[in-house]
Formats: sequence, C-alpha cells, structure tokens
Amino acid sequence: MRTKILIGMYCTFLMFSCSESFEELNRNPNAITTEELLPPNLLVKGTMLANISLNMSHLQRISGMWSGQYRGEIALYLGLYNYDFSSEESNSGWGYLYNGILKQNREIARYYNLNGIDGKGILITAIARIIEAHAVGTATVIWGDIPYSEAVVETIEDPKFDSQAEIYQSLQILLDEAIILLESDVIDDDLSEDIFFEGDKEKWKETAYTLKARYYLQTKQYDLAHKAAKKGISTHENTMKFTPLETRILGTENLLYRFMIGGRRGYMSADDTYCRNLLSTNEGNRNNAKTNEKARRNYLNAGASTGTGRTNIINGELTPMNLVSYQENLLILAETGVRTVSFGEGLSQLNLVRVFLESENSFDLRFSSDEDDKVYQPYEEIDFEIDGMENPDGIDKNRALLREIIEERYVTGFGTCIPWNDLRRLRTEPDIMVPVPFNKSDISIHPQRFIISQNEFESNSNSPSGLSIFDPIPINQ
Amino acid sequence: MIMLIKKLSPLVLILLSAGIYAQKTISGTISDDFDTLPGASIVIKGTTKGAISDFDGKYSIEVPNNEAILVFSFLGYVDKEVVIGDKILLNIKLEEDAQVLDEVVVNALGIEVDKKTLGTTVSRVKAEDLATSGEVNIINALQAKASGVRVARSNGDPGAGATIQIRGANTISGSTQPLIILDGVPISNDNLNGSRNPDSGTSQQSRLNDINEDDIESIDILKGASAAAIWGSQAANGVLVITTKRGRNTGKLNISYKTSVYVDKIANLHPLQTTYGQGNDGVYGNDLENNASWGDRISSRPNAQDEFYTKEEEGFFTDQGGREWLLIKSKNSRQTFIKSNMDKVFQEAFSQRHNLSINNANENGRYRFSLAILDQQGVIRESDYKRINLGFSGKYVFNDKLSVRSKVRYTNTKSIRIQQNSNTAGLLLGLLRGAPDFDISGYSGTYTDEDGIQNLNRHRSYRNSIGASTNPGYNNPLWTLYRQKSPNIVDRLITSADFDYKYNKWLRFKLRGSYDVYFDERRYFFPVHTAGRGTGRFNLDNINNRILNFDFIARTKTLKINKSINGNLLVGYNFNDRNRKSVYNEGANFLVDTDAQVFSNSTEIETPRHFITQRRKFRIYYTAGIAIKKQLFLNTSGAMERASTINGAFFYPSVDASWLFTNLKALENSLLLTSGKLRLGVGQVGVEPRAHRAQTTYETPTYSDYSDPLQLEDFGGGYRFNNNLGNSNLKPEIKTEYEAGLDLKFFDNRLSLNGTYYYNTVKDILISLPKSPSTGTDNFYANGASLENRGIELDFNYDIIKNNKGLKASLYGNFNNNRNKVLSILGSNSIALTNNSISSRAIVGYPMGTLWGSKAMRNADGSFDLDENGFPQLAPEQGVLGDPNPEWRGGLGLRIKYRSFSFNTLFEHSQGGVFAERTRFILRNFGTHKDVGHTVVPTTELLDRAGNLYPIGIPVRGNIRDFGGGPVLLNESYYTTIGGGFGSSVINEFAINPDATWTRLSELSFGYVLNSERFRLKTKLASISFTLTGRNLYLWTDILGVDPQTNQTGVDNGFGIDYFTNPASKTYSLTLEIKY
Repeated sequence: MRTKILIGMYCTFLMFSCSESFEELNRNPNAITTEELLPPNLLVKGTMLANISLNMSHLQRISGMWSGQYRGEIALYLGLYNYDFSSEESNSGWGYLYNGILKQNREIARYYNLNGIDGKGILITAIARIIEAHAVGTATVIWGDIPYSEAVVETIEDPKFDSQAEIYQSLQILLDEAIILLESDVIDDDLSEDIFFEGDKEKWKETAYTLKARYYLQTKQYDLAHKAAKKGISTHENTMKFTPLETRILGTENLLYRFMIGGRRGYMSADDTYCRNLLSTNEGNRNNAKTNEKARRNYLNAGASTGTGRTNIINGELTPMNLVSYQENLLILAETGVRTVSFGEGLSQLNLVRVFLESENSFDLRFSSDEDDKVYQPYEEIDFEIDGMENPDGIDKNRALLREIIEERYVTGFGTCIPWNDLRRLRTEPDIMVPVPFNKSDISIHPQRFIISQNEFESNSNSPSGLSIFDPIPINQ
Repeated sequence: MIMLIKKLSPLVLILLSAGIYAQKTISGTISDDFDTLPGASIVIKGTTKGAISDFDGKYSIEVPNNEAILVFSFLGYVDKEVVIGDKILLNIKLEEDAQVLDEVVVNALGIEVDKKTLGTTVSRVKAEDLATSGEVNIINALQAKASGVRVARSNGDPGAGATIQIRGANTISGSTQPLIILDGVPISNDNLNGSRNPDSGTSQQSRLNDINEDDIESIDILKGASAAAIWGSQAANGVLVITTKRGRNTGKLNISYKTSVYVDKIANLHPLQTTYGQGNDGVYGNDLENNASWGDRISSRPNAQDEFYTKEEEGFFTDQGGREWLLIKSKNSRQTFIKSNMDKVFQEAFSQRHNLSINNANENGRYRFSLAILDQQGVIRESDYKRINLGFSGKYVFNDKLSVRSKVRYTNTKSIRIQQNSNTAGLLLGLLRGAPDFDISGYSGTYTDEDGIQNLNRHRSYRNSIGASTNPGYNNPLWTLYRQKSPNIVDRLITSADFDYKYNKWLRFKLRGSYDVYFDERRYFFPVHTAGRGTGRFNLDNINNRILNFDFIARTKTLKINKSINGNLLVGYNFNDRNRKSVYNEGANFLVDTDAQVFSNSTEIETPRHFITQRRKFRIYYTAGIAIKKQLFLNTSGAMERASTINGAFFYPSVDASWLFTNLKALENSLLLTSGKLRLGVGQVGVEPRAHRAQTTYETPTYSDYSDPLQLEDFGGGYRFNNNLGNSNLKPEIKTEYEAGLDLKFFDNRLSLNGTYYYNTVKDILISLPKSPSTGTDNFYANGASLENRGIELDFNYDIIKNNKGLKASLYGNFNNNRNKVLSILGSNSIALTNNSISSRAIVGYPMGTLWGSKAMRNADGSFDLDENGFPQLAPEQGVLGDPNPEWRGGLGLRIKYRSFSFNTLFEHSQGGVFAERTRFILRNFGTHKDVGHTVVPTTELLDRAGNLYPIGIPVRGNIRDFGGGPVLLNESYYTTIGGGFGSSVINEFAINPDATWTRLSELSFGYVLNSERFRLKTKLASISFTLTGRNLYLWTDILGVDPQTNQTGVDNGFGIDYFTNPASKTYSLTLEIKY
C-alpha cells in the first residue's frame, strides 16, 4: 500500500511541477508573437501591398468589365462580365482594407503612442494616413456605406456602417492631417521601406492633394476639387504607382500580367471592348486630324501571350501600375476647370495631358513602328465649337470639351477604377458620359456598386441587406 | 508437445488396452452442433489421465471402471462431464460458451476485459472479418463492419487515406479521427496535407495504413465516451484498440505464408459527350481561348482528313514518340478520342502482396515475426503504392513475478501519386475538360516554329495543339502521369516494451513505454511548361513526427469484498509527448529544363517554411469495477489531465453499469432468451486545443485575389499583425455522452442483437470564430461552439442455418442513424469547414458539414424569380444548399460455411443526404459532359438565356427545361454562365444532387481450405487456403460518374463534394495461404 501512495504522490508531483515548462512548450516556435511590438517600418510596406491589391486586383478587373474596358471570356469572369456578382467576390478586398491596412495603421499608431515619435515616425504616420485615405476612398466608392469610424476599434465587435458623406469628410480631414505632418520641420525625408517614393515627402504631399481632389470630384464638389488638384501631382515622376520588381519573380509582378498569363489565362481579354473600339479605326473612334491612338491601342491591348519581362504593354510583367497619377490630376484640373473656372482653363489642362501623352513618359511603344502613331496635338477652342472636330453633333462647346475630357479620363484610366467611377458619377449627365453599352440586354443601368463582403455580412449585424449591384451608392443618388 | 501426444495417444492406448485386462476402452466423436472438434481434451475426473481428440474429432480412452467420469473440454466451449456406465461408444456434443468466445474485448489501456462486465459499447472486428474484405489497408477493411462507424476512402488511388468517423462529427475544426491504440500504446493516424491545400495536389495517406493488416488479431472500436475517458482530451472521437497477433503454443514452429494477387479497375467515371467538337458558339476552334467543347456538330463534318497548316505556315510539334502534329486549319475528321484517351490514362492494375509469419511459444515466452511486402499498382497508370512491413513481438517470462514484452514494427512505404482536384496540373481537370475530338497521345516534345527554330520540352494540350505556346492551359493528362512526379517515401518505426511485475498475490504493476516515429518525404515536381507552373516548380516537404508515451499502472486482481461482491481497482500515470517538425521548401523558375529535383536549379526559392508542433501532457487515471452476484456490474473511471495546450487541469469522469438480467432466477433456462444484458453509461472526453495558439502572431502576408499574388516576402520582407487572433485562455472541448443499450441473444445464441441509443453534446468547441472583418481581425481561436449527436446503433447476427452436416449460414448487419446538429456558434451563424465555391459548413441549427453556396433568386412562394427570358437569376446572397449527412447507414452481410468452403458477402447502404456534383456542373460549362451533348428539336419556340429565339422543328444543341416560366433552351449561353462553371457567381445550387443514396456491394468472397488429415499427412502442412475476393464491386446510386464517398478535401471535416477527384476503384483478388 505504501508503494502505491508513494507512486501516487510522485505522479502528482510530476504533474503539477511541470506547469511552468508547459507555458514555454506551448509558446509559438514558428512565428514572432505580438507580445513583441514591431517597429512600424516593418508594417508599413505590407499596407502598401494591401492597398495595391485592393485597387488593382480582382475588383478593379470587375469594374473594368462593367465599364467596357475588359471582356470576361470564360469561367468565373464570364459570369462576372454578365453581372452575376456574388458577395464572396468582395471578401479579399474587404480583408485587405480592414486587416491589411487599417489594423496595421492602428498598430503603427500604438507603437508611437508607447515609444514616442521621431522624424521617421512622423513620415510613416503621414504615409499611413495617405494610404488609409486612398484605400478607404476606393472602398467607399465601390461599396457605398462601409464601417469606418467604428472600424478596427478593439472594444467594438460590430462596427456600424458610416454614411458615405461622413466617410468622405473624414478622408478629407485625414489627408489634411497627413499634409500638416508632411509639412513638419522635423520630418525625415527618407524611408527605404516606402516602395512608392522612398520617403520623398513632397511626392507624398502631392499625392495627398490629388486624392483630396479625387474625392471632391467624386462628391461633385468641383470647386474644391480644382483647388486641391492645383497642389496635386505636378509631374510624371511624382505619380504614385506600383512598379513591379526587376527580379521578375512570382509575387512581385504586374497583377494584370500575372492574372492574364498565369493560371487564369483566358479568363479575360481586352478584345472587342468599347474602350478598344474607341482607339480603333472603327466608327466612333477617337482618331482625328490631331490624334493618332494606334500606339496607345497597341499598348492597351492586354492579352495572354505577351508581356513577359516587358513594359511595353499595359499588362507587361514589369509595366508599372498607376494608382494616383499625374494624368489623373491634370484631368481633374481639366474637368473641374471647365466646370468651375472657364473653358480656357479646362482646355489648357487637357492639352497638358496631350503633351504628356505624346511624351515618352506616358507609355512605352509596343512596336517601334508605333512611334509615328502616337500623336496628340493640342486642341483649340474651335475644335469644340459647333461642327468642330470634337463637336460634330453641335452641342454646347463647354459640354463638348467636358465630353472629350471624360472620354480621355476613360481611356487614360484603363486599369484603374476611374472609368467605372465616372460612368456612375455622370449617369445624370448623359451628354458627356461615355456611352458604354451594357454587356447584357436585359438591364437599363450600369452596375452601381459591389455588394459588401460575405464575411462581413455573416458576422456584423449592422450590415445592410437587400442591396443589389444596380442600386446607386449614396453620393450618386 | 500436444502434437506429439496427439500422434502417440491412440497407439499408446491400444498397447495399454491389450495389456491391462480390467480396463475398457471408450471411444467416440466430439463435435459441436456444427462440425467435429479436433484437439478437444478428455480427462478422467480426479486423475491426470487424459486424451485428445484427433483431426476428425475422434477419440478413445482407457477407463478403469464404469464409475469413472469423463470430462470433455475445448476452448470456448462449456465443459461436459459424463458418467461412463456400460457404454463403450460416447459421441459428445459440446455447447459453445458464448460468454467466453465472443466476450473478451480489449479496453483503452490494452488490457483484456470481460465484455459482460462493461456498460459501454464496444464493437469487435476480428482478423477473419478484416480478411474477407480483401483490402490491404486496415481502415478500408473496417468499412461497414460496425454500426456507427463511417469509413470513407478519399479516392481510389493506391494508398489513399480514409476518413473514420464514429457516431458522427464530434468537433468542428479539429480532427474527427479516432485515437488509435496499438497493443496499449497510442500511435499516429495522421492525414496531413503538408504544404498542399486539401483540395489540390495529391491525395494523402492515413498513417494507420502503415500497419501490416496481417499482424492484426482484432480491432475493438470503443465508441462511447465512457469507454475512452481515461484518454481524456485525446478520446472525443472514440478509440480504435488494435490487438496484434502473438506467438501461439502449438508444440511446433508455426509458419504461415500468404500471397494475394489483385486486379483493380476503375469503378466509375464521368460520362462525356462525343457529339460536339472543341470550340465556341458552334464553331470549331483549338486556340487557347477555345477551352470548351461548344464547337461544331461532329457528324456534320465532311468525314475526311483534317486540313492542316503547313510547317512553314505555323510550325509543328514532334511528340515524345517522334510523331509529328500539325496545326489544324479545318476540322474535317469525325473521329473522337474519348475512349482512347481514357485507355491511355487508366488501366487494369495488377498488384501483389506477400505475407510471411513465423511464431512459436512455450511456457517461458513467445514470439512472432512477420514480413509483408505489398506492391500495389493504381488504376491510374504510373501510380503505385509499395509497402514493406517488418515486425517482431516477443514475450519472455523471467520468473513467477516478472515478464517482459516488447514489440518492434518497421514500415517503409513508397508511392507515386498523381496530381488531382482543383489544380491545373491535376489529372481529371485536363482529361475531362479536354475536347472529345482531341487526341492526347502526343503530350511532350519539340515545337518547331515556322522559321525552323526548335523549342524543346513543349507541352501539347487541347488548347495548345502543336505546343506553340509555353502555356498549355490545363495539363495534358499524360503529362500529369509521365512528366510530373509526386513521389512519397515514409519510414516508420513503432516500438514498445511492457514490464509486468506481480508484486504480491493481488497487486501487479505494469510499466509501459512506446515510441512511434515517422519520416515522411513528399516531393512534387512540375517540369517547365506544366500548366500553372510554367517555369517549373519543385516542392519538398519533410515531415517528422514522433509520439513518446509512458504508462505506469498498478492494478489489483479481482478482489472478493464479501460473498457476493467482487471488485478491482487500477491506478495509472501517463506521460505523453508529441512532436512534429515539418519543413516545406519550394523552388520555382528553373534555370535548366531538366527533370533533376534540385533546388540549385531554381531561381525563385521560397523561404523555407518550418513548423514545429509540440505537445505534452500528464494524466493520472483510475478505473474501478464492482461486480455484484455476477449479475450487476458497475464501472467507473476518471482521468485528471494537464496538457501544455490547456490552462489548468481537467478531469474526465465516466460511470457505466451493466446488468445481466438473464442471470435472474426467473429468466434462467429461458428457451427463447439465452442471455440478455442492459447497459447504461455516461462519460466525458475531450478535444485539446491546437498547439501554440495562445498568442497572436505576426505574419508575412501574400495578397492575392484570383492568382495575382503580391508577396511581402519578395519585397524585402516585413510583417503584419495577423488577421487571426490567438487566445491564452483555451480549454478543452468537452463531450458528454449518455448511452443505453441492450445485448440480447436468442434461441441458443443463434440470434444476437445489440442495440444502443446514444446522445452526446460537445461544448466549448474550439474554432476560429469569425469576427466582423471590419474589426481588423477575421478570426479568433476560441472555445465557442456546441453541437450534439444522437442516434441508434444496431448490430445483429443470425445463424439461419446451423446443422450438423457442417453447414452454417449467418446473416449479419448493422444500422446507425446519427443525427447531428450544431447548437451554437459564438458571434456567428456559420463557419466554413472548406473553402470552395460550395463549402461544407457548420451552421447553427443544421447538421455539421451542411453545404453552402450561391443560390437562385426565389419568389415568396419558393418558385424561381425568373429573368425576362425565363431563366433563374443569381441571388446576391448565399445560403444553405443541403445536408450531405445520410439519414441512416447500414451494412448487411451473409456468411456461409460448408466444410472446406466459405462464402461471404457484404452490402453497404447509405440513405439520403445530398451530394455536390461540382465536376459534373463544371463539365457542363466546358461542354464536355454527356449532359450537354444532346440535340433537341423544339416543339414550341424557345428562348435561350441570351435571349436568342429557336424556331420549332430545327434541331439544336441543348436541353429543354421549364424553370416555371415555360420551356426554355439550356445551351451554351446558360451552361457557361449561371448554369455551370466556377466561383460563386454561378448558381451553385444547381450542382447539388438532392439524393445521394447509395448501395454498394462492398465485399464478395469465396474461400476453400485444404486441411484434411490426408492432406496434412501427405504435405506436412497444416493447411492451404484459397480465397477469391471482390471489393467495391457494384454501386447503385443516382450520383453520376463518381463514387459518392469520394471527397474533394480528402480526410477532412468537410464532405459530400466532388471536384475532379481521382476516381474510385473496384478490386478482385485471389489469396493463397499456406500454413505449416
């Protein structure tokens, strides 16, 4: 009996003496845990990639298919092309926004709250705000009302959905804050983790202003948009773009290249689209005495069999992808210039775009023979007057100019959400809207939004239900 | 010794009888009510004098006088005493002692216990029942053998793993596989996916199948919580207790050699159309964009040679055999290739197996050595599974007090696997989506372009018919078989040692240690120009797993407490340590287009992913039993456990009782009811959390939406705060189970019936709880769900015929109707178990595994909300598509034995449930499925989905269907959009087959054994037997083209979904067994 008692005691001892080593044993041997607070420069690059994916990936491609830029050919993309959209398509992008960007930004802020902020910290904080404003702006224009003010707050389980008007207001404030930070005297001007500008604060500042202008444009506050764009991106070098790495390895390439050439080959093409038609020699094309779009047509002819190691086609493996561009800023100036200043202001800004288009910076030539086919001579006022080359149907010359500016935005915006955004923003101005045909005969309005993420829908009781892709977002109602 | 006695006894007896006058000789035959009993013993009561019956059950013995009493005994039978009187011929019939023969089972500690004392459900599957299945894998051999045990093989690949599920799903995201105890020690039954997704890559193995099936004596399936409670947090899914064969004392060396040859055939395959060619919109085409077979009507072609472009125009392809292929300019030939393509991919596979065992025993010890060699070929050409098993077990008795047992088992498996499932490099993807008018026979070779420049190692596929592009779209199936390599090698060693020490008359100690280790090396090699991995890719997974287990047990023998009460007690201590190290390496973008599997040839080398999982636990446990008047038995057990993954200690109790009511005076000697037992049990078991989930981690993300990744790692690295939160307050999941059962035997044991009703709830289920993504976190690992299972289990055996001419026919079967329901999920209503367009889910109020996906829009009355052309529309939100769990499952078998012949057949049935036919659904999109090969003649004007009008009387491709708005034409415009295809923007509801009922002829076997005395004398062998077996021979089901048991995600919590999963197989085998 004594043996048994002894054994029992020994076992009990063994069992409870090991509790401390247990904790050690269960510590994650495979990853850094969040018990360590990582310096923000290690987090910020990830937010940039998340932002690129949100703006340039699946959802952008769908927006392109819904605005005459791409065609869905087979499989999933054929259905999406025909407006068969499921809330599941939003899951990834939604996650990029909230975890990929907002959560990391909150962690960055937490780090500086605990450890104090230095010149680099100010720079990273400003960049984080601009990226956040960029991403949230994209999110609200594609999904409408989304959680923002209560999003990524530790104590809130079911964030409410903010109204779009509130969100746009917040974004303007956020960008203003970033600009103030960027104007700080003690700010650093160098950040090797910054894949866009290497920490160049001036470039970031211009980006912030162009974003402000973009959002004022979306909310149709054209005067404010014009004012902001004046301080926006001032040169091609300052365009915020994703530049694929020269290493050319999977995971660093142009997203459109990877999508069209990889496992999803054949899903989508740029054949027979409205946009392509505009650049062709078919009826209704954009070519005229001052314009030759052939080089651009070749450049935009995204396909499945070219582009490896190239930058001379929109879906080239190494072709940069524009996020917030010099051209966009000029076109905002042009449109808002016509709308709020004068015909002349608008025309001169449009001509700046044309100067840029003709320059070698705008896009690489697909074929050397394209050199002579990249012609964008300046327009003159007469071209927009009744019976002018840009006004054969005799509408008001201001409207004719606006119509050309919007069409230029439509082509320049290839590969971004601009064409779809304009299509929706200008649906009440059919005289200047690009008349993109429907992909299917039985609808009467272009899709107006994406349905929010299925994941959010299932978990957040505040999620709106019953919305269809054909219901306009609040700012466009 | 016994042999010697057997041989000498008649002679000695005759000699003795001649010499001693007063004695007389008694002789006769000993038999049961079925056959004669050789080797039965006859002893003159009160003496040591005796004899043994010979091979025909005959005996003779000298007795001193007429008053002598003879005692006849035979193992497993009730002893019989007979007073001789004046008889000289005594034919004796012995009665089977049911309580001895069937009533020993092995408990969760590997200790034999008397079944009648148990209040829990234990199903025993004996070696001979495993053998009739003709299966080489243990798990598959368990199929349909016991009620409430679902065994489903992932697919027909050789060596493919299988799911074992006892009494339904007991957890949501953890493993649902039972704990495996081999001779008292826990061993691994891992089914790891490694670096692969469960729905791509190759089908993985179940590590339990490493065990040599010929070593197994019996498998006891402990279904209920109360039988398993001493294993605490490892036992929620039940326990499989495997007992291996031991050396037998027969007075000689026992040698047995067994060999089997197998022929495997493909069991079913999706039917394909051969009416329409490759292309779109009714026009032939063979470009990359022509991924489907919506082309021209083949019979409308001129029936002439195809017209080709010249070599100078478009170049040409020289395949692996030197054959040249030109690009088709105009398709004129009516030839189709479905059959020849299939024949190039599938085969009748021949396999063989050899088993050798040598064993022996005497009073000082015993040993058994076994060797098994299996060489299995797959029905898919090139695939195979080769296994070598080497085993040795021995026992040595040192003295009265101490004995030692030790066992060593080594397994080496090598297999060549074939890529499958959702995978552009998978077999069926390319085979079934390929066009019927495309000949796959040239798959790899040189593309010479129009200028004569050669491009080596190009991949020819139906969309790349002369290899002009570096991208084949999908793999040519033959490329999948012959150019890709997915070999796998596993080395495994299981060793254990037991020391048994009898401390005194009533107390004994047992010390037991075991070590189970395996190394699993998996390679996945994709040469340059493989679909989706065009620049080449090489993956190498190394998985190293070990389980160290140690038990110290002190137990009493049955102690008499008073005249009518007995009791026993066992106390034990357990230490269990599990450790897994996995390293996943990937290299891509090959420098040289070679088949060498080396990383130095890759220019893109992914940072190796290295995962360590370590777990440790300690348990103190006891079991105690009390028997009252050999009629009422009460058992209780408990385990106090501390585990590294859990905060604090947890106690797992159990109590069960059994009442042998036929021992009541009133029921004794009942003619109808031979024996009856009432069982009651309640117990708790658990599931431990995953290791290392206490903290939240940083991760290095990849952002990818439809195959366009951005990897932070490749941008110089960095981190993000994980979207999955850790949790430092994890508890085990606790399953509480109640069960009540009756075990009845009627008509002299001819009919036995076992029935159990069980009800269990599982609380605090560990899952990644979904959070609103807008909180910045997608998931939170926590105890947050509960579910319940209830059901009835029935097993029966009825000897329809049992006569003294040696004929015995038994009908046997089982039934289970498990009902599962998810009761709650914290903060959500639904959790995905798999991530596909149709997912398996846990949804509150629905059974586990409920299928979920996109649906058609409906009106308030449930009818389709149709578009203007009369077609259903995609609903913007997803919903429940159906429950794949069957209403009930059962097995029914017939076993016949007549002298040397035996026959066995077993049917398995699964009633109800739904099945997601995703392969079929997607093949409609591709225009290759038989469903979309029809030509119809409209009798009214019909619209298609695109709004085109089809006039009366003109034949047109498609199907006519009425969705509620009048008949419409289902054609390319429907099947390539909402009515077939990928993702969530098609109406996946239409991929659901609402009735997955199936019946399977799962076993059919004939055996013949040669063991007559003449044979034995002539050959000096103990026996030779032949067995002819058919396995999975026939399937009756409405599910087309696929075995409804196959599962896209392999051994996983999700099921009921097919997606280009490699096909199932049927097997014929012939076994020859020679025993010396």
